[in-house]
Amino acid sequence: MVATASALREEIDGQWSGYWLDPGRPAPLAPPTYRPTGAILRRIGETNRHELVCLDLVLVESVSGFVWLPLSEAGRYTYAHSLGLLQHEPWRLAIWQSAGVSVYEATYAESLSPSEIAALYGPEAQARARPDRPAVQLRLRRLAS
Amino acid sequence: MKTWREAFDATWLANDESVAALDHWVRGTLAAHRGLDDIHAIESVAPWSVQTLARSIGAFGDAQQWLWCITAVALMQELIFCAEDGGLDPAGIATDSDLARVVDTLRAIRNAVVHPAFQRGKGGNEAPMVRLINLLEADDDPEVTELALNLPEAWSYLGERPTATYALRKLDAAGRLFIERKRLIKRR
Repeated sequence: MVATASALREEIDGQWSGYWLDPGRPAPLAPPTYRPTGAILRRIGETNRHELVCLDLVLVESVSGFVWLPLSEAGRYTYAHSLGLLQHEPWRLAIWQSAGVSVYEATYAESLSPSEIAALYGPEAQARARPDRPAVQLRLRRLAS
Repeated sequence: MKTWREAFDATWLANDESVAALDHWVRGTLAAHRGLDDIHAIESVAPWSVQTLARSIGAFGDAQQWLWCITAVALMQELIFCAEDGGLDPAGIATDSDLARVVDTLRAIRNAVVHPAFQRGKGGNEAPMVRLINLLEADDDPEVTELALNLPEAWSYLGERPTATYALRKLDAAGRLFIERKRLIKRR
């Protein structure tokens, strides 16, 4: 149970937000005008922008609005991208940064025990994660543009 | 993009063992509320059953009758997750942790499709469709998000395939968690 969801800001400091692309969908030329549909949190100190392991964040409704939380293994059937990845579909995450759009191919990496989250991703990530289920990690590999 | 049948066949609703386990549990739970223990009474305990609704959800989707498909999902979630209460509210495991979150989303779908005249907020509560649009906008399926962007101007668009796919995905996730937590299927 994420007991503190009602008191959280929407985003986790340092998260990358973007848009999930289902199989076959081209990346838009410009960032969509609606709220991001996907986000990830890189490990503390991660500098590789081409291939990385990260936490998969999902947007969840709370009493004070929507907040981004680490996806747990228990929730993988709930979201389109995580369900698609379970079924070995090629989902991609498009992230717009100052240099333009980067499109990452996503696959599952080894899940992370709740007690390991703080050391790798910081205390805020741990506080937002379920304490009783492993958190889902993704491996992102940047695709050539 | 997967066909409706491909998406349906990947869910517990197309798995005979899962459907039978949930059907058996729901029938027994409903019967217990009324003190029924006769096998024939359990067979006829309620007008809807998990088995018939599972077939209906698949068939309505095959026929592209999306609003009926979504409505059948709404009935199914109520049948399963309110069974323990024996009334209108989720109870027991359905109110635990992230299962509660998915069930709450399914109830938002139910409220939007079975209260079709509810257009104005009342008593501090917004119209069910407004809340459902917010949930659809926050989804990660681009087709669902794109549909949600058109919904504020035309609520009738709710009866489209992306909503049915969204509802099916949420019902699949909730059903899987429920079966697991209730241990309705023995692990081999």
